[in-house]
Amino acid sequence: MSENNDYSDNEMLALFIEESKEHLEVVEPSLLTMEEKGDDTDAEVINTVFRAIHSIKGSAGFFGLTNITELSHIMENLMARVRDRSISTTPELINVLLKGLDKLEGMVEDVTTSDEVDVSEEIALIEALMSGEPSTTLTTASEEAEPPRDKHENGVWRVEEYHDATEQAVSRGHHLYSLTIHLCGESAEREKAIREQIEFLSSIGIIVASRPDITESESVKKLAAEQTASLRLLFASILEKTLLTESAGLAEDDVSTVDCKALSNLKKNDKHKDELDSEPVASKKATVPDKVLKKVTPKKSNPRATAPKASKLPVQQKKESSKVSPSSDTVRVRVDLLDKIMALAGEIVLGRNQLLRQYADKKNNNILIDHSQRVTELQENVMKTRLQPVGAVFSKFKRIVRDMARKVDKKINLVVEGEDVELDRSIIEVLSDPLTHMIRNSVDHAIESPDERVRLGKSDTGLINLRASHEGGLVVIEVEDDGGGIDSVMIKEKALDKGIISDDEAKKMSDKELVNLIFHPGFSTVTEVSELSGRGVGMDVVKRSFEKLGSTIDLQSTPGEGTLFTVRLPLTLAILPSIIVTVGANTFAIPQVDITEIVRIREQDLAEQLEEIEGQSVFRLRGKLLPVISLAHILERREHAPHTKAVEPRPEGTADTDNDESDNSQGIRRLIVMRYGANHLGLLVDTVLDPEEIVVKPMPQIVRSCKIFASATIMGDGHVAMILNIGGIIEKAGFRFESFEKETRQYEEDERKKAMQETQSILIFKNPADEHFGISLSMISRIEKISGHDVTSLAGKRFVNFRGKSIQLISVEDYINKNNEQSQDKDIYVIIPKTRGQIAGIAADEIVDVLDISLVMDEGTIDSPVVIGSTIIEKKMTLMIDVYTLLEKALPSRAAAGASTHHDERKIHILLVEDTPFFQNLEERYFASAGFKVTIASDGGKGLEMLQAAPAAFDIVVSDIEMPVMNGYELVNAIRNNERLSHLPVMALTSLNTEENRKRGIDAGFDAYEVKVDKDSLINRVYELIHNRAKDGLLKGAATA
Amino acid sequence: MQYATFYIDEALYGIPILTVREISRFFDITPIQGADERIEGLLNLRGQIVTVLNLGRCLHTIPVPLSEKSRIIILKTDETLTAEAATAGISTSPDTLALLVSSIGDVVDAEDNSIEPPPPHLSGTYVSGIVQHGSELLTLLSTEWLCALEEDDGIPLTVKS
Repeated sequence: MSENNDYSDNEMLALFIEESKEHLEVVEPSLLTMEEKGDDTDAEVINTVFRAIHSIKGSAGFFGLTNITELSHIMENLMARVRDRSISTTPELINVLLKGLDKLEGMVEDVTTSDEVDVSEEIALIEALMSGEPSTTLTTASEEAEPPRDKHENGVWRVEEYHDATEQAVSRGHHLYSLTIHLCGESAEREKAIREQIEFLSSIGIIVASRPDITESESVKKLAAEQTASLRLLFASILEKTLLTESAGLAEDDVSTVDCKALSNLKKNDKHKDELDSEPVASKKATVPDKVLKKVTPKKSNPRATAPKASKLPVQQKKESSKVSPSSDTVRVRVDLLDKIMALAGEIVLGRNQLLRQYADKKNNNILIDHSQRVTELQENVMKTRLQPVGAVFSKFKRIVRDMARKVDKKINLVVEGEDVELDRSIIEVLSDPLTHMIRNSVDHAIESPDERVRLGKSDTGLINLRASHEGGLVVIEVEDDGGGIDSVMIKEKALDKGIISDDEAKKMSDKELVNLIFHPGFSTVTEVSELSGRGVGMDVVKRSFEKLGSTIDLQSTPGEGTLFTVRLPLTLAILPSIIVTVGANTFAIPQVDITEIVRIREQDLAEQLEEIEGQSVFRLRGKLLPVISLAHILERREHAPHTKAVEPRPEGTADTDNDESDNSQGIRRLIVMRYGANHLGLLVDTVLDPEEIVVKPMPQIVRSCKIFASATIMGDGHVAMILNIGGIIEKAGFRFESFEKETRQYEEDERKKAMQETQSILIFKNPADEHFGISLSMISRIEKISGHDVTSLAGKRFVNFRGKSIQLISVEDYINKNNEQSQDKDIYVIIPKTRGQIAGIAADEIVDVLDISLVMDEGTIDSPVVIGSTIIEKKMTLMIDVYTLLEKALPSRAAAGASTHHDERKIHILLVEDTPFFQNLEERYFASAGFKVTIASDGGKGLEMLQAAPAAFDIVVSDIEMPVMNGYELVNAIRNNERLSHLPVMALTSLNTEENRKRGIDAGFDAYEVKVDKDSLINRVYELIHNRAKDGLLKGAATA
Repeated sequence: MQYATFYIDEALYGIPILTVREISRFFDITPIQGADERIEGLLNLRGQIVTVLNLGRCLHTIPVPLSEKSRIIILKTDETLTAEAATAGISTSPDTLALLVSSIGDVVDAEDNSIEPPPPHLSGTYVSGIVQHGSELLTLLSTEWLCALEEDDGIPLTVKS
């Protein structure tokens, strides 16, 4: 069998390939570590490499793969010398080894042609490297009191005698053993036993030599005749020691490994003169002379007969390796089997979902629920079997970075974090290429040359950080470098050049948006950008690859400081937690990963809440504009014009199952807010059903062109449902985020301007004549509904009972010369204004609405003191009522009191800073009615100008807070910081009535903070402030005098 | 060779029985909005997703309406075709496809020498031959076009009986 090279059992070979790949994977990172640490490398690292190469050599020899055997053999020899520290770990050495490793990898990948590969270069390189070192060091090491591992354990054999035979065996990857066969029983039996044993051994290896010489039948007989004799053999076999021991039925102690490497070196080494020990080695250690014991190191028994690797290694390391190797609790499973199990688990989940739906309303379905739980667990665990650590991909980047950095003369350190984060193997497989591209880009373009880095004050060694981590249900992979970053200006110029963006667009784009242009397909052809700006080529391909995985990529870059790519990946592609939505009679699944929130919109509010910007529907979500795409709309657009056909009525039971739900929730639509890259958009659907864990089915080839669907799934009710592909929907809708953002910015600008004109909450009510009136809500204390019978008429006036007091009821129309129709028995509403002192109620027939609007009023339409002006609200002319004038008119005593109080005062000059015409008008009236002189400024800036122009002209400033150009806080700040104005009392008059705002106002320097409601309190407050200031001024004056 | 026959509207068609996996009564078909109109939709066949083609639309005759009598012929995939089919040079599609037909007919044994080549105006992608079957003309359809459906340019082909 030893000569039998055509051991071509395919399965065995496949196993060899797989195993070898595993070994080779271990080698590369270890070599890189060795390069890093040089001669300080941990012995275990070196041993790892040694063991791995050795194992490959062994197995390759078994299959007669000459080239692999030869190359691995010489690499092993080199490693052995590294291990002995007889050769220094230099970068050249690592280079040579890496080169050999690459060759090995290539050959293992395609073993059938491996013998046609030329390995002479690698071998020559290694030989040259080894010959450069004195070979004597090895010998001394094996002679002297080195640790046992450095001894060749050829024991009693003068191996140089058998050099040719051993050399041949070794080159085939055979192990060399020294065997001791003990004989017992009658001499005839012995002879037979010896012959049988020899015959057997010949079938599993080569007997290189024997003692006594078994080729002479005489000596065999002689041996058999001896009582306590034993036969010693120098034996070469492909079998690992444990296997050999077992199959030959020998004791552990009777089999010892002879170090082939040492053997092959022996020939050159004349100093080595081991005495041929003709004395048979007894089985009992006690009888073995010390000298022999030292040489023939009996091996400890190896508990793991199934791990025959590295049997040539000394005891100590063998133990370690068995500890490290995880083989005892792992099992190799074929990937297609896993895939099948995965698919089946998916089917079971689907079946479970269907069962659950069918028996959802049944009682006693505990078993089902229980079972369902287990199915979920099963599926989760099956999925875990497909998970692989991303380290599988990450590990190769160390090498890539190293090689590339050497090529481009840069110093780059790759730091990898989170290698143990796990992803579905299908994702891992696809992840490799785009990540490689990104890393290569970083090395090639992002990281500057060492000189450049030093010049910039950076460390000469660039840093690339590759990280994986969990974030929510996603895996985030980040590639960060500390290189030059991406110059947004350069990108902009190139993008303009290539016509990717227009001038207008370019002006409005943020730096972040600009650098993200590198993902634009148009950029990939722009080769020169790559050199200039650091990135560019192929990034659109990278982006597309990630998108195919249902993931997103985002980019942040600071010029001069570096770039950060963030990729968000789903954990697995097979099972997706999804939201099920309906549009009409159709059901669709949307992966939850894509969804950020779901907004409920009432059908009747739809038109109102959806605004249009340049033909694009938008929804205002917490102050941000969200582009909205109607799913129904998208679905209606057919790619092919419908053929000549009438819509055929579908037979009963087709796709109508969702009717119940849509009926139930009629009038309510749902807006699915989805994330797409860095952007968000809303997808308008009819209803949202329960979330479901869907199993993604492969998309049939012929419908793959339909990009709005990612794939299909089978729902709990057995229905096929399509899984929506957000990217495809956006594409189909012809929606472009770039231009949308541009328009949005314009729109928001307009909006902001509009918002500067304060909106008012207006209570709208009507009288029996269906005339609409409006009162600012801030002036209303409460509204009561009373029966018409509770109204008492007295002396031409009407009164109602309010909180035990009789208050006068005012009809607005009495003061504006309108018809006055009053029905006695109808319920009426009484609006009680906020006021001090005597109160009255305003009668209203019906409360129409409360609206937030920005008032634009026509003044003078109705000539009445109680009307501020008119405006059109909801297509109806509405008169805005001046509540205080109305009260004064209705209650003459109140007006008199107000006027008389401050009758003797000289005319106080108020600067009223107010932007809203409505309040300008109202407040001016108040102050004027109290006998003040009022000057109006429409914003803080104008107010300040007026004050600066005539500092002494004003006695007090009354200012609004929210104003364009310069707001109230800024105004008061300016006043307080102006020496000539700082003495002025300033009062805030605002609708922002919260404690926080009040405090902020006072802190900003306002003397008082009044809310736009109560005229009396307002006027009193003005007096108060002016008096206080005057007093302060006097006191101050007295103090300085 | 044996042919599974079926009707589209009133016309009789046949496909090699080797391509037929099973014939099913009407199920719940989910339409794919925006897809090629020849695609009727997707069907859940015991956990497997099957693409249903409206054969009437494929042949540019009368779209097959769904009715009591309509049936779905589920075809074998290239992978599940028997060796016999392969030697006969029959291919279908890598996906599981199904044909929506108006109603199903008998299995007809047609000797190769009884099959006449399609008349020139019918020679095209779909028709492989014509056979006289009793009083009816049986139009034999090939299945090779199924895998190329995506690239089909949709040139109208009028099939008259």
